[in-house]
Amino acid sequence: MNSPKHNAPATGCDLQRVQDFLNSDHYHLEDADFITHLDACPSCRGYLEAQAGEPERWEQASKLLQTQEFDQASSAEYSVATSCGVDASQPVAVKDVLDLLVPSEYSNHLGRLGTYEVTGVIGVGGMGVVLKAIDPSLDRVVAVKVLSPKLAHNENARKRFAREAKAAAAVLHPNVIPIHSVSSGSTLPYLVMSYIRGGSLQKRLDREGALPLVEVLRIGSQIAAGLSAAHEQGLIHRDIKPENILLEEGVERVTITDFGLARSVDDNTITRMGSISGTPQYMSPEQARGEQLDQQSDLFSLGSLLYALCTGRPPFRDDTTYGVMRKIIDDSPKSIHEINPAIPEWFAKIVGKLMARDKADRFKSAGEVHKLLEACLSHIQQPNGYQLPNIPNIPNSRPQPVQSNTTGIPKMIKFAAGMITMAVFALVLLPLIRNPWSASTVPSYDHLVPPEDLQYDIPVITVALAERLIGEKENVTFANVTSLEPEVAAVLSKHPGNLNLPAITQLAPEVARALVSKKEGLWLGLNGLKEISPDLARELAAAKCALQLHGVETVTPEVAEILSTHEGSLALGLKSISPEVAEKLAMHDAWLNLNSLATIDVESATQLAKRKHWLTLDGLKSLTPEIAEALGRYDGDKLDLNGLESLELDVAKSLANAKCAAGIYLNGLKQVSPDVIQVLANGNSHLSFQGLEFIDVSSEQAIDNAEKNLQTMGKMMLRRKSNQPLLMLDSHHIEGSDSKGETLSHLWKLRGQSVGSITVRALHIKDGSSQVVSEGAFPVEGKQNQSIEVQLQLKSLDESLPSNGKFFVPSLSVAVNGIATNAHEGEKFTILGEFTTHSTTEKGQLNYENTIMSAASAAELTSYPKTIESMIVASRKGVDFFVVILTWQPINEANRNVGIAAGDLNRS
Amino acid sequence: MTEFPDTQSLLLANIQSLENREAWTEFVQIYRPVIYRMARRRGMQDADAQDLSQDVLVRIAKAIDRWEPQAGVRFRHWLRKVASNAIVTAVTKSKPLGILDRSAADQILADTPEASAAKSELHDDCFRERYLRAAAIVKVDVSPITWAAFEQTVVQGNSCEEAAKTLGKSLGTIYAARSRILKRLQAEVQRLEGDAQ
Repeated sequence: MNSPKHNAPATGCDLQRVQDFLNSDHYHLEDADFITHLDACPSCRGYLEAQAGEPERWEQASKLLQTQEFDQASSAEYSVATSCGVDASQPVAVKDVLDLLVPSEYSNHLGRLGTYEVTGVIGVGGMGVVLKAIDPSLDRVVAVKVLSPKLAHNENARKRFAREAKAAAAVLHPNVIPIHSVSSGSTLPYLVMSYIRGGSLQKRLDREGALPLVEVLRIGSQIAAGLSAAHEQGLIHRDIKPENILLEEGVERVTITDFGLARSVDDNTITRMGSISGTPQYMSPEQARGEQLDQQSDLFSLGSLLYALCTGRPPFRDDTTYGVMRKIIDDSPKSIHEINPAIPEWFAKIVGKLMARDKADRFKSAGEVHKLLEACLSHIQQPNGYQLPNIPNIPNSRPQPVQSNTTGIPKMIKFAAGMITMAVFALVLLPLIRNPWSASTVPSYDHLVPPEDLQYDIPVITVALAERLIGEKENVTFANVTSLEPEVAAVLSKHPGNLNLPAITQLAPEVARALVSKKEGLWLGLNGLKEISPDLARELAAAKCALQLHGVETVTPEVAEILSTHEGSLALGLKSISPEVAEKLAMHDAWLNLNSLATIDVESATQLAKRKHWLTLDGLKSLTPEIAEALGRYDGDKLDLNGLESLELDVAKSLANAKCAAGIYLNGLKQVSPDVIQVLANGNSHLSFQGLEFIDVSSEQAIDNAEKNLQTMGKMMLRRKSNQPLLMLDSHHIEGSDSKGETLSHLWKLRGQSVGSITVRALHIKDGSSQVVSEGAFPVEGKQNQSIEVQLQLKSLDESLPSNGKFFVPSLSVAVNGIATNAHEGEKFTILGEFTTHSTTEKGQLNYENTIMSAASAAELTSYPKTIESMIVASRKGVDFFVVILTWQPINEANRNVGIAAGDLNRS
Repeated sequence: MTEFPDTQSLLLANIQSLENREAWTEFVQIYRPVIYRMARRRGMQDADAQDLSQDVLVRIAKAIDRWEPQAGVRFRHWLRKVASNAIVTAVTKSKPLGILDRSAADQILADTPEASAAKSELHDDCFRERYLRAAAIVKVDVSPITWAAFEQTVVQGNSCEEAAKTLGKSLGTIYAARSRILKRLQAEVQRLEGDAQ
């Protein structure tokens, strides 16, 4: 390369000018003068180059920018790969192909390919170029698909291309394009197909928008017929979309083309997991997830195509490929009928069944779809001659649009002012399994789980055993070893896996020194240690691995200071913390786990918030506004507050000030209100709410909006896994009147996702005890939008009692997916004197600060956690509670043990 | 016609709980060609090398998905360390690829000469890839003539006088152009490196 040679600045030249020129990004008018000066002044040229970079920098540029062996296109051309969208090099592909054609004898032809005379270009795609050509031997027009030269030397692409030819040639059907010949050995592999005059279905869609039903049926039944033929050959098209459907001019024939991605069901050697192709808008959910495909996937794409024909637009749309794929996986399309009321409900039902998220819920075969659509077509054309065929039911009907949320804030219902307050405490939510999904893994990645632990029960470790462990990568636990010799410790130190010594309660500094001397990168568990002396702390702090000291419940500021010099992660079992200790631990420069802290004072929180690294405080169950304000000053890596079970608005506001590079984790929250979500999403951090299990509809919308908002700011929100059960409260109605003793009714309408079964239990809590009024378990079928309605009534009986008393009978009824059960009645009870009732549910959130105050003192009640126990305590003060407890289980663990059919409500 | 596979989006779609999509996108852009080259240099065929880079990326993506790291490192650091271990293991075949769990960043690779050579190769190659990315960014920012002045004299090794002649520009223009680009290039590399730190 041509290196700069001069470094010395010239006298008399304006050196600042050189600097200014280099530091500006764009040309300015006065630059012209400077360049004219450069033309004439070698010393300024030299100075300019020296200022631009030292000689090594010039050489580095020269060396690194040379094309190297095995550079792929993206590297070799300095071209930034666009993450999605159209390949900008497409016109180049056409030119590349045309350049390789043999010149033709005919001046109006573009060239010759084999024996084919190329007369034009039909289209361009990712795989190559489709040319229009004349086959001279038969004097017919053909379409020649040529693999792009760039891909022709790519073995994968060649294989794929050859496969396309083989697959498509095997299918002989009027609705599948015929392949005449294939040439895959030549430098420019190509295949020859029939030329179909006309255009693609996409073109027609662009031109005309939504098509009439009769056309949709005609086209749909033909595609289904073609697919059926291909499926019978064991092929999957994998890319059914309007662009790949050709409409022959003048003939009512539809042809499926481009089996480019078709493949035999058992041919998974080339297209492995991950390298899946296909236009995203018509992809099936399983395709978007990169899972194994089968014929059912084509049916989903056919459904999406029919949807597009009915509405004029694809069912899932987004600006990015990624966005489309996420929607396919997560969302349901808008109802067809809403976009195009001309499409009858029964047809929308067919499309819905084709597009069923669960493969098993789709039609059984393309052949079945073909017959059904044909029969529908006959009915449309001759309604009197042919009856509309039976449309098979969809087990999972497509989700309904979200029903508008009712006000949700029930007014206080006063029967009268008086002595007894009867509160209906609604929907305490206690899922049966705390986090049933935490252990779930994607099946094909089972081999990625951490290594098994090796557990030894022996009381002593010999040097020989320790030496053997040097070769073991497994985590090793010595459950019964209570002491170590320095020699053994030195050898153990070389074990490359995690080492756990929980039974060691005391450790001499010299043994600790030996133990950590060689340990690097992995963790060392010494969770039996209760106390750490400064000397021991010094040895441990020198460790190059993470330290787990969960048994250490207190440390002095001196020890904290020493431990904070430890360069790796640190877990301490502190039960309490002082500001002095917190101040020292704030200096620690890696992950600090203080999960045993159940409370913290403001000053200590303020100190800990000064940390730059990850801080875990999962032991905190709640935050006061002051603590939250202190933690809000944290701007380190990641803040774990996964123990929080509820989050009030003012606390959220303070937390939102924290700037966490990796986010604030609030996975313990089961419920969250819309304003809390909104406040947090306007903050400075990624957010994680993976534990949400119960929300109301407005929260769901708030979460969606917050997630979008975060994304525009480049932040993420971690949400529940798609198979995790979730219950949403649509509405809560109360009926009753202010006159004495009328029947009072609470009705909750809920929607479930991935909920397999529910248990509903009604409790009556009074005079310091709780009794079950009624209880029942109900299976909930289906995955999406299961409807669950729970009604609790307190019926007043007409029998009147002396001295202002009243009889009531509690009654519980449940309806799952529209199937109602008989109400179960509890034992009647009496209320003497005057009383009021209060609802303690507000938008699905428990809220009894505002409602029970009149009976028991506010301070007493709010100091209780919101649990059954607190209500039992409160009931001694003269408050009766009625509680409906709903528990649920995930769908694929649907409770078989309960076995109580819908309709039973068992009295326990 | 069919679009060519957009595995980038596919990887993203597969990762639901990804901490930092932006970091990941950038990561894949840098690492995919690097893994590919490392595999090819070790004698793998094109298709196998592509499969391998895909495979490694999917594995890394999956490791991210369950990120609850044991070490107090930043996400990008952690990602690079996981990647480094996975890639070096994959290309040197020192142990079957597999364990990319929460403590992946903590795993120590067998310290064979082969592995450490691969590690430094990986490091150098990633730097080059970032350099190429920087060049790509600068290239679209400047006029084609300005870029050509730089490319011809610095990359292709022509003299500035020659370049001035071929491009029909004055000598001062060529000097100005290539100096400015080198300066920009370094700033851009630094920015990308900074992002990666």
